[in-house]
Amino acid sequence: MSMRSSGVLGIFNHPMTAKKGVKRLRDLGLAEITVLSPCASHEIEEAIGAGVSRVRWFTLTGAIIGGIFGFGLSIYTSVVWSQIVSGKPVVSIPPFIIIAFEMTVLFGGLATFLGMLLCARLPQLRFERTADERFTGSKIGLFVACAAENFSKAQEAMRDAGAEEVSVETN
Amino acid sequence: METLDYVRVNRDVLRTIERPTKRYFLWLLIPFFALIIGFSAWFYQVQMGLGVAGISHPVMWGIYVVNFVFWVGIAHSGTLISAILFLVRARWRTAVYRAAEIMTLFAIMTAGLFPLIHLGRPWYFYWILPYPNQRWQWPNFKSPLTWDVFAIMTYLIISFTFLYMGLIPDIATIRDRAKGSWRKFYGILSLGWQGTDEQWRHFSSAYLFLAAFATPLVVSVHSVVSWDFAMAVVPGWHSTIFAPYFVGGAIHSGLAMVITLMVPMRRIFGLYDYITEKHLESLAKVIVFTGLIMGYSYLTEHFIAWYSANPVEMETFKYRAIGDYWPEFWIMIVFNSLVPLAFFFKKMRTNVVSLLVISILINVGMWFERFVIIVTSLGHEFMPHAWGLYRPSPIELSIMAGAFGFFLLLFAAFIKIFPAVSICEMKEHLPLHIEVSKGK
Repeated sequence: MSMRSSGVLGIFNHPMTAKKGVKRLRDLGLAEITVLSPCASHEIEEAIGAGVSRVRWFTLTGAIIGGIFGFGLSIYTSVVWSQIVSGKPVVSIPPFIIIAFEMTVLFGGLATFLGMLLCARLPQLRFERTADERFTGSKIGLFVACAAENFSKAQEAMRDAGAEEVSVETN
Repeated sequence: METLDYVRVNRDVLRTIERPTKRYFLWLLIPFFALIIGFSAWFYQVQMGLGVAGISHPVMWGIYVVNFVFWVGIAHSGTLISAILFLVRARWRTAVYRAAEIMTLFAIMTAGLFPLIHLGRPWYFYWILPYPNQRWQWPNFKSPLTWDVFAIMTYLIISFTFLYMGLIPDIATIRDRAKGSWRKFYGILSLGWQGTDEQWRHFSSAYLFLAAFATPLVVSVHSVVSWDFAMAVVPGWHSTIFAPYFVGGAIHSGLAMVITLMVPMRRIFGLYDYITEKHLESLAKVIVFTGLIMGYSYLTEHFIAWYSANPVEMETFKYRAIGDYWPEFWIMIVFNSLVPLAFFFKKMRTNVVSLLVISILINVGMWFERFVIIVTSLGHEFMPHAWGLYRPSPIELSIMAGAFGFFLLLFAAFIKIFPAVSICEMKEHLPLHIEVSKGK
């Protein structure tokens, strides 16, 4: 959700009150919500209803590429520079499984991290809104982007849910 | 006792990375001097050749390989605590996993020094890497030594990635409170993290998958290291028990090292409300389990040697128990499988002195286990006329001291720059009925 647009910002003290705030706003049809919190909260995640993260596809792709690379590297190099050892196979799968396994984990892990960065749109060189240090400390920020005629509705919903502070942010 | 809330977690953990005192720097001089001594000894070795080490026929692998296996083993517990305990939702891991992960990263870096130190021509270390060259030569992918390179390198990269990714939200917390050039430093490392719901969603998913990848690494990496020995036909090495034996031993020594680091750390930083008696007790309980595994492994090895009726195998295990290295053998047996049984008693599990002493004894015992496996088997193989002895030289011992200095220096420096307890996860696991904050 973009925080460059105008909207209402509420400051909450507790994940449960922030969750209530999210629910109230969604009930009013205001769904462009961004929550800033100092830690992950499954309650808030549920309330927002954003669905499953796409990171898993990066993980799967990376792991498959890694496995293919591991087998490919070991098989290709064995064929191109063979060490013939008394009737033992040149392309020997059991030891190559170890290389393929490690490359699967390596590529899968790195792809997971890359996927996280891309999906979370990191690194962010400029913040969309000046970072409020309270949101990495002890407060939870709930921002809803909406048109000016919905400002008062949103403010009331947040206050009812238990917001400590509510303010209108215009851009 | 003040209740733990978001404000308190921030305050207590950020206090651990405040400007260090003069006393901190004085203590750091010890590992620093050890590192200087170790580096000088290695420099001398590179100039004069590997002959200055005690390694000679028939014991061609000495304490460099002992230390390599020892440090790889230490590294495994960090991943067990941070990844495996995460997957099984063991909540007690929250306060200790960050320090354990830091220990893992620096232990694996320390381990990685030893294959290089052990090379006669260390400037050719890159020959083990698969890169195209004009002679079309490639590493032998059927060799356990090549498997080692891939396994250790993968473990190092994944451990670093796992640690860094978990640190990003905490670095953002520090960034927002730092001043001057530190703010820029933490700002770059935090990658602009804001803590939006979308960022947390992808972060949580990525963390779960990384934990799932790190879990088989714990088992596979030390299994691969054990196959450096098991794939040889040396008596006492060529056994199918080696993979689970080494992995069990790795967890055993790693958990002991976690306790050795946690006990002084919680005292120095005043983290008694975070790393509680319960946490240390939980670690001690797992050590009881791994200690029993080690005892069972020793019994199995000796039983199989006897049951096989293979005269060479029987002789090897008899030599270990009553031969030239009998003190090292009995230190291994007593410190690894008998001493940890003390943790069956709650009083021993919850007393910090006994926890610290027993954890140090376990690490000494595990070091001697690797020594016994490597030196007694190589020194007492098939041909009696080829039997020989090994004693580590002062150069080897100096380099070993330098490695300990390397590890401690890095660990001590890291926990003063980055939080050794996870701020965001501590907050996540606070009981929901507790009010988040009463102040800012």
